[in-house]
Amino acid sequence: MKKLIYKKYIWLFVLLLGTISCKDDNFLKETPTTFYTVNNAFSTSAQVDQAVIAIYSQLRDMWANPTEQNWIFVFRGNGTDMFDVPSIRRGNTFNNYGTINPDNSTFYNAFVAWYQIIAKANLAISSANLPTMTWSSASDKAYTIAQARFFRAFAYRNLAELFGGVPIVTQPSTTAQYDFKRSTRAETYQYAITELLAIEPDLPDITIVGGRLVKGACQHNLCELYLALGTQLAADGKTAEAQTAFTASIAYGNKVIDGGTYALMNTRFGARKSETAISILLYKNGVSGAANVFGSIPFTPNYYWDLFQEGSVNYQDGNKECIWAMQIDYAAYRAEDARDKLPYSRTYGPVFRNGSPANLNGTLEDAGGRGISQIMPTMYTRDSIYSGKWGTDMRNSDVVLRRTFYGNMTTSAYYNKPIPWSVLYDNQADQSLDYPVSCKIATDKYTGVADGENMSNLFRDDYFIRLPETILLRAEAKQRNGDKVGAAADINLLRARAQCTYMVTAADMDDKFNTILDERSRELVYEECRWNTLLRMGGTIAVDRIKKYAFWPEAQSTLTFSYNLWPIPQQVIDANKAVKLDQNPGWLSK
Amino acid sequence: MIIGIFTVSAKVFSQESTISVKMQNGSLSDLFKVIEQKTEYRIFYKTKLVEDAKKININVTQEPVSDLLTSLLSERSLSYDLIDKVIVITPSSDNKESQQQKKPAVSGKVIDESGLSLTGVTVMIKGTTKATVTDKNGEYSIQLTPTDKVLVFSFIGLKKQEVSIDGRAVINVTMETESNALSEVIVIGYGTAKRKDFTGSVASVKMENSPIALSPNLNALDALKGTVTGLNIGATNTAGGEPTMLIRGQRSINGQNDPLIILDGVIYLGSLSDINPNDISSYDVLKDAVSAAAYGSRSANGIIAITTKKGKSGKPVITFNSSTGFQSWQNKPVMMKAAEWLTVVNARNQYAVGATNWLQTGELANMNAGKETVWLDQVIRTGINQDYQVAISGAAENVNYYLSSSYSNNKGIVIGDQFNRISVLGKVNTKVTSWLELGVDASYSKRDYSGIAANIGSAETMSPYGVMFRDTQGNLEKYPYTQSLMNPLWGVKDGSVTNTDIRHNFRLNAYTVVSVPWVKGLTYRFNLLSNLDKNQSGNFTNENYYVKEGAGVDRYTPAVVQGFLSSANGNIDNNTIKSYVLDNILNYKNTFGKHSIDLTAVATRDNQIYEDINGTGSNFAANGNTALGMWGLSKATVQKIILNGNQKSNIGYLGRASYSYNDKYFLTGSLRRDGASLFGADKKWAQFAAVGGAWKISSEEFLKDFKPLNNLKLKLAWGQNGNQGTGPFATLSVVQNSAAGDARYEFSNSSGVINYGLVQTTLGNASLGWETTESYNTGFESAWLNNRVFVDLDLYYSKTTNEIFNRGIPPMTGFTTILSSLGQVDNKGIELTIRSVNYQSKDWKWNTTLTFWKNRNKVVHLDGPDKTGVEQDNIANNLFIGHSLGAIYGYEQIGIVQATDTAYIRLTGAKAGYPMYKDQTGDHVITAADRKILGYTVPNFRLNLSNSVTYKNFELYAMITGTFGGGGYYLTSNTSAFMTSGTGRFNDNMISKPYWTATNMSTTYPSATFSGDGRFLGLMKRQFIRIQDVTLSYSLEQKWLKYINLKAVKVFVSAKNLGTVTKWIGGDPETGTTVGANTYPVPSTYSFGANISF
Repeated sequence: MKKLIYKKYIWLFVLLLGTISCKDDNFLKETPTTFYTVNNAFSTSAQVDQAVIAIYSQLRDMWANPTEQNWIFVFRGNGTDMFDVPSIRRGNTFNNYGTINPDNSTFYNAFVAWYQIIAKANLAISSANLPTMTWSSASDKAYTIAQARFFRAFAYRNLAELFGGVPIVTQPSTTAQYDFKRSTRAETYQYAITELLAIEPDLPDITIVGGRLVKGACQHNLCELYLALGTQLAADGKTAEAQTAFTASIAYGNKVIDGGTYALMNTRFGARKSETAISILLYKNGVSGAANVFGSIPFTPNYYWDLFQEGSVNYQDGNKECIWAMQIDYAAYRAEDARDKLPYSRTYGPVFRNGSPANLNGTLEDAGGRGISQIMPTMYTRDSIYSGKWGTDMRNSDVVLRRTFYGNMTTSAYYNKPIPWSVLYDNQADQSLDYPVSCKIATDKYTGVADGENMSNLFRDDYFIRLPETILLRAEAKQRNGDKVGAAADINLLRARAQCTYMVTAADMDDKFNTILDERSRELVYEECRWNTLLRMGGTIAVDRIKKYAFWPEAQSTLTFSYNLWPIPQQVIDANKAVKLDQNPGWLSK
Repeated sequence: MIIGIFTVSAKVFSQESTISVKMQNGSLSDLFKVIEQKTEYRIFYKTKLVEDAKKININVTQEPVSDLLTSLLSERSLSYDLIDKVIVITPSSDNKESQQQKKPAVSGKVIDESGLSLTGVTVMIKGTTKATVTDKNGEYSIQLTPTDKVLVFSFIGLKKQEVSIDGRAVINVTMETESNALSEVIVIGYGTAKRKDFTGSVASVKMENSPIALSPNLNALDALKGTVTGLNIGATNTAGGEPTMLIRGQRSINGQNDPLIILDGVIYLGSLSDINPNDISSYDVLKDAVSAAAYGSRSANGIIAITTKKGKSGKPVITFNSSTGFQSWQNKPVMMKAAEWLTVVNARNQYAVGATNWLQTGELANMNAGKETVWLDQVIRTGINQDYQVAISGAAENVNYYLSSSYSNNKGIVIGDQFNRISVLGKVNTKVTSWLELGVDASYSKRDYSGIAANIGSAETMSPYGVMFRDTQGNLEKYPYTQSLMNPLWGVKDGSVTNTDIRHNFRLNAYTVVSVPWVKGLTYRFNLLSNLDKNQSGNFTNENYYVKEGAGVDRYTPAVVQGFLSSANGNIDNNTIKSYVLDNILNYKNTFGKHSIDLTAVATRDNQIYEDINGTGSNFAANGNTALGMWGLSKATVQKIILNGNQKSNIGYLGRASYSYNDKYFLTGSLRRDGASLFGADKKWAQFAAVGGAWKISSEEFLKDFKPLNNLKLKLAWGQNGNQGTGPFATLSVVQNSAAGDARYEFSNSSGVINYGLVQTTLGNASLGWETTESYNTGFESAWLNNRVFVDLDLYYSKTTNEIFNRGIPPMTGFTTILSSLGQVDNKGIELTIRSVNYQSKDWKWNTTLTFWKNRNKVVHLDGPDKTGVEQDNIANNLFIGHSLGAIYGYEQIGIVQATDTAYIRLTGAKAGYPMYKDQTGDHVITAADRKILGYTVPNFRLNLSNSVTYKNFELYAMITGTFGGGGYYLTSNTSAFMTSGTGRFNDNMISKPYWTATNMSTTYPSATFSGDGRFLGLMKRQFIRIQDVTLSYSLEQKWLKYINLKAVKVFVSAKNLGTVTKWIGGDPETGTTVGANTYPVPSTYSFGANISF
């Protein structure tokens, strides 16, 4: 009897252990419930479009910089001839070459961001082509893929302009890989060109939806890529091939500029076209509230100013200059998209309350909004390009580049009077905090104040590509192709539109491209990616101009070497263990 | 209380005690001889008691000894008591008394240190075999003969006492804990062992009745600070907070470094704060591989086993514990007064001396009125810590129970930082039959962390002339100087922000122990633990919170504030963690002559499911008001629901064998196979082995005569342990979309419509596997000078390989890192404990314990060698081959640049008054190449000293802890202690410092305008010595207790963190708090209380 029980227990144990063992693998299997993995994320075309939307979103982050990342301020111009940091942010300098070396995180972050976009595009393209994927129409599929391939080419253009030749990756990575090889800069440009040529037919001329990619964006980039390719080929001594590239650049510029879709705006238009006068209110001691208003400064709007008003940026708003714009939507910002804003008044705006607190205080419209000046325009950008004969220019009009500031401190000698710039510039620190305010970064009518917004952010759309940039690219291509007259004519398209008194001539088109670069500064300040421009041009242009125009003295004393590309980030070289990636010239001993 | 368990179970014969006897016309004494031969029991009896008993005729097979004795003795008006392996035959209670009246006798009561009566204590007359045991009231009585002089009291785990009778009729005795820890029972994985038999490194701390328990411990681990070598417990600085814990150094670069917590023998899956410190009986900290091996998969960081209290004595004991403590902020930083602040703001901003034009109107008014605010004093208060606990426990013949309920309430030093906890614990254990034991432990706790706490950082930096109130009604001004920095109390008590954070924990552990009746020593134990956490938290910020910057009360008018309804928002988050653990434990223990074996086989699995439901709502403009607070979220214009969840499962199979020979040689080996869901499909399983040996060298002939040495055991152990190093789903290539993807875009013709992007957030790694620590431990445990001095030493070395960390990969993949199993980190260290009984007399006793430990950590491998065969440091993640984790890499500061350092100024562009750095490369400029390892944030060593002095019923306990740096260790960057400029705002207040000026050429403090250069670290030593605990207690005399009908009363006063000696500036050195950081202070707590037993 006892023996029997004993046996029963043994069997019970065996049974227990048995049930445990055979279910082990099931028990340990991981099945996520609240998110997808790459293996099950894509089943409909809507999800492929979501992958594309993620790229639109990241590009907006890289242009508007809502989270105020230092590397993006550099990417958007800090450390070039155009922008520097104010005295209160010397720690964020990108002008002290004692700290700018291949280990500098700015380079790494920029490099990573562009490859993130490439990876997103690769994921979208490969999932779009999954055999199980269903599409409503062939054109739907073609347009979705075209957008992804555009972004990939766009990323390679940016990488090649900034870093030179980079590894070309065209498939999503599924595992870590350590054996990437650099292509040449020309190969990288050529890859982007080939891609854009392939998708050009799949992009629409215009869209009903503002913000989606159109053919003009592709052609503009081809114009820039052929120009960049030609410049590189010329530098490599391949003159004939370079000429071919410049010709192609001009041809693609022509398609955009003369294609009939786009035109420079030269009459009042858009949401505020009927306003013939605006004024900026003055608040006693900079304190908000209607009771504190003691006066106002009048301004006369013009059509250049219209280009940067809320509701006037998109092509769909009647703006014929807009080729491709990032989309900002206040309702979405309020709902949940906290990064859906242009924090330009905050990040680009001056800090009179620190730079001249005795005269102009507060954070209201009279002080240009709630500026904290993450970066500030150099004297070149704000003053010298408008000196002398260059002064009469709609882009230098007070409503566009506001130079009139009234004292609002009751104790100030300039209370309710314009403060002279000699006072605002009384020492270098204050000069770095007090500067003219562009209508691209501030406004007289801040959206959302009633909801508690504090004049930090603009809620208008903003340009990725505006026609004048295509014109400036074509001008450069013409000049590089030996047609200085054509180049001057292109520049004068912009100068005429801005009602400048001085028109440039072929004689102004110097070999260092100073006239083109100055015109770019006047036209595209706060819009272009200045580093891309300077480095794309090659030679010693970047280094020369930085040394000449940097605000603080460190660049002069520390930029003791020459470079015309950013370094390949040391972290990237270190991580790519299987293949040695060559460092760019000038950075090896840094 | 382990001792408690044995007391109770000793009343019952162990399962092996069956006997087959055939006897005709035998006497009881004959039978007793047979029992002594055939079993391990010894029997004490008075010959007189049994000589006239009637003859015995029996024939039984496999009869339990207990049954046999009970039936035979009761017929003869006798009964027996069983103490450990000793059976004592006594007259049945009815004729006991009559016997006592006839002869001289001594009687009395035996209690333990807490005043509770002890059942089952053996009371023996020295030099005879005459003995008795105490009854369920702890009382005894024994007859004497004129030659009897001394009574010997003994009890497992307690110190044997010899007491001279000296003609007394009543002898009451208080038994003390055996200070020779070798006899204690320690908790090891899936079972217990006697310390003397164990080969690994385990530290045990007894809480129950120890002065440590009287200290105002804020959480279950606070008591372990400084008492266990090799275990670092961090400071607790928030109400209800949980400290960091680390055993024997940081082994995992990225992963979890917390030890595994075992509660009453089962893996603990709740939060440490759910455990009421008052319910804890003891801790066992398992530090080395062999000790921890039983929990192979998750044991690499060591184990803290917590044992809760159990019923002890026969009669129910009701205990009431109460304490109240007051908390204050020791070494509170002193911020500058307004006059100095004005000077400093002008200096740092290069304003004119004496300028006040940058002061805002309200600040000017305060200045003119001579009214300044010490903001730090406005955000703190005297903290109050209250604890109440009622426990009922008891141990009857077959049932042992412990029921406890408690309430703790802590109002922290910082206004708004508060915590309260209600907890209930019930434990019942019952012997259903001689072979079946069932038990249930159930607990519930509710923790409430609700509330918004003030911001210390902004209180420390706020303008002294800032405006506290916007009106005369005491309503707060949100921006005391009109912009940027909010009032540190904004949102705390003004009702504009509400916060609720309530966490419920339900825990149920049911177990069965089957003592397999027909195999001596074989038991089977089944544990089923289920744990449920239900946490609800929520925040609501209403429109009032969003008052704008600026001056004037107009900003607060209802019409203006109403506009901010669109900003009002909140969320309610419900999360649930469901988990269970299933253990099947088979154990076989036996002794064959001089050979003892202990075999354990375990099959275990556990599972945890986490589910989170978070509902958010924002924009109440359309709704019109926010009167409903967070429960009005459904009225918001924008509403969202966010779901999160994960699951993890583990399986383990363990085999362990322990063998000892002649109490001299000990060997333990174990093998465990583990599976975890967290790892890649083909990497889920791993094996871990461990083996350890010990040699009680003092039992050898050649040392037996060496009198000063009482005990010496040498240990050597090797083993492997695993660490999971990552969370669920880490091997997968995760794709997120909708709100979780955090990529949104809006196209122009769809105002307010958000398009969500889809983003691959990680690059998965299917080959991710176990992080494995292989470690060696050696050392000795020893007792000297008649058990007055105990010295324990441990040396260890461990290497952790396949470190799970984020390896940098080429970003061309679209990702910068991938979780990889790579790299190696080594730890080695030394641990020393010296305990001594310095002085001992009838009334006095003085004990001292010194603990010392030191750990050295080293990163050995990271990514592996590069193309040139050299392994690169990972500067970005601060990992350096050959150096400890926590390395500080940067520029070596060598003072301050003076105007006379012209060459340095010319070559580096630095200004006079700026920090000067050493040119390591000798190229006369300061470049990235001049960086080097400057030191380490980790401490060098720790040294702690505790003393306990007992005089009669008074006990004074004091513990001093020290964490030491030196040699470049325990350094931390503390720029705010040195810099005047470089804070976030131009007018930030700070602590006073003699900054460099042309006339005060400081070599320590940079000039007021120096705002940082990306290189300045301001390294400062954190080394400190702290008076951690001081406790004075008094137990009321037994004779007085009788009058008030209480069993035991202990009153005490106690202080925690009484004083700290350190050179660190800014805040608590242990938390490394700097001025201006919103890190809460480590409180000093002064408490008093009483423990009362009925």
